[in-house]
Amino acid sequence: MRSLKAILSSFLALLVLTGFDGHQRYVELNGRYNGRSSANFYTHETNTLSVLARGTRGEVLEYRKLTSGNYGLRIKVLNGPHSGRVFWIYHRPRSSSVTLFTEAPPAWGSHSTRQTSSVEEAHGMEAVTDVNAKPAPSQDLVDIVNDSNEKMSSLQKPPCNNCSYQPVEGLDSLLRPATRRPVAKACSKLVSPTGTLGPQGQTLYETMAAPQYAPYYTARNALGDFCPKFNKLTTSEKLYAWTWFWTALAHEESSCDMTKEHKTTFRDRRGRLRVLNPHEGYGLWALERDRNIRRWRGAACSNISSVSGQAHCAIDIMVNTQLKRGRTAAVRGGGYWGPIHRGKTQLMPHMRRLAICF
Amino acid sequence: MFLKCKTAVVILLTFLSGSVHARQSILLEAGEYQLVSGEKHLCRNFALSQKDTLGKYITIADQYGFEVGKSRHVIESDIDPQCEFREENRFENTASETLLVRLNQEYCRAKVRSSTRSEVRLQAQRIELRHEIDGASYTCVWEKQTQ
Repeated sequence: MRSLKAILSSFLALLVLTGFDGHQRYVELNGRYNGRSSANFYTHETNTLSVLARGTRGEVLEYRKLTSGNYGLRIKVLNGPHSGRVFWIYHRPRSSSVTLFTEAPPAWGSHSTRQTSSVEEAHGMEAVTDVNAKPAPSQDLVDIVNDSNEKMSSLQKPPCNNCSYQPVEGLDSLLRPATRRPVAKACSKLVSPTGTLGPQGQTLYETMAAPQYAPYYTARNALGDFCPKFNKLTTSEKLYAWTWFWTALAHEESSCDMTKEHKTTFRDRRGRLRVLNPHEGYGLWALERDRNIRRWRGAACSNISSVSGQAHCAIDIMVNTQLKRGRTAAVRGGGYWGPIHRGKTQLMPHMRRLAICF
Repeated sequence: MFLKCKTAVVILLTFLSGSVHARQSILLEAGEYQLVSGEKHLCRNFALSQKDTLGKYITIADQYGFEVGKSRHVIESDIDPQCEFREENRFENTASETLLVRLNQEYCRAKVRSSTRSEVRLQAQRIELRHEIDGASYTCVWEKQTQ
């Protein structure tokens, strides 16, 4: 029996990785952790949504290396009372109470988690020195996001917990069904076909709601012709409309492929090599691939390796090239994105699906 | 007395050092610039404020950023750990124009993956940009709107 245990332990030791290098996809918590809405881990932050109990298991959707060398992990909870929800947790590789796996262990699914009711009970694994480029959302923001998702859930089918493709049923959803050109299936990570915010959509929403961006994104007529009823919408509806706008733009630019490499040249009918874009683009919104070329855009665009990094950069570019200059989203003859200039043909069919705007 | 002399020397050196490293200035006026030659979808009309013309960077047509000075930058890629980005900036001022040149390259495993070269000639009310990328190039010219 002992030898069997030893063999099993050795096997598990090979499977289980104590360090973190970005390749681990699954996590199990061996202690209580604060589940946060963003990757800000100051102890005084008010972005803690829930306390995750010992035994909580999750899939790592995204990670962010912090200035201290520790990590923020964005996980989708797979078991317990928070199953299906997405949180940021803090991970300190040297003294962490999490176990990381490259693949989901086969025994998962037979355990339950203990409930924890108080944030104060969660023991502090979190540093106070980590600073992240992303601004800390206020409690108001957390409330707005939760309210918005609850509102959307009540308006339609059950929320998209795993944010995979869900068929459209009925016409009572926030999004009208696509009649001609539906967005790519990969876009459901931003907004599902029935209109629920996916994990990437939540990131967009939260970033736009941050104090330095919200005044621009909720300003009068900010979406211009893309949302004629914009001024009649509530704050959460405005941010939701913007999230759909970014989804439509991501579809047009990259079919919602976050690693898409955008070409710079093409051959015209005469076979001549012509320039399509002055710089090579990358990701969902064709952001400048070259980090030096992005340098003058500032900290918001310093790292676009993750969806949240791309979202932060795109949101910042929109503010600096259009909204801050008194322009709306539907600018012609200026700004960064081609599909916006060709708005009527490219973006408008998608925007017209948003019932609250028309 | 010794301390006073030392302080005076420090102040003098600081002043001189400041003069030597004073920011380079460009020969370009603020205002609305209109494309007079070149491709519209690559070179848009744009406006420059007085502040824009005095900064460490200048951005032409929302897309072409130039550092006002001579510099080199090497930075690791945030997208591919096997790659790094290199940039060289050149600055030349003559009596009638300012020339800014920027060369950007991506190196992956010691090989050039991509290369972009931008060159802009700034006169008081005229901007000429030549941009080369992956074997193709184009030129755009803007002039300041006088009214």
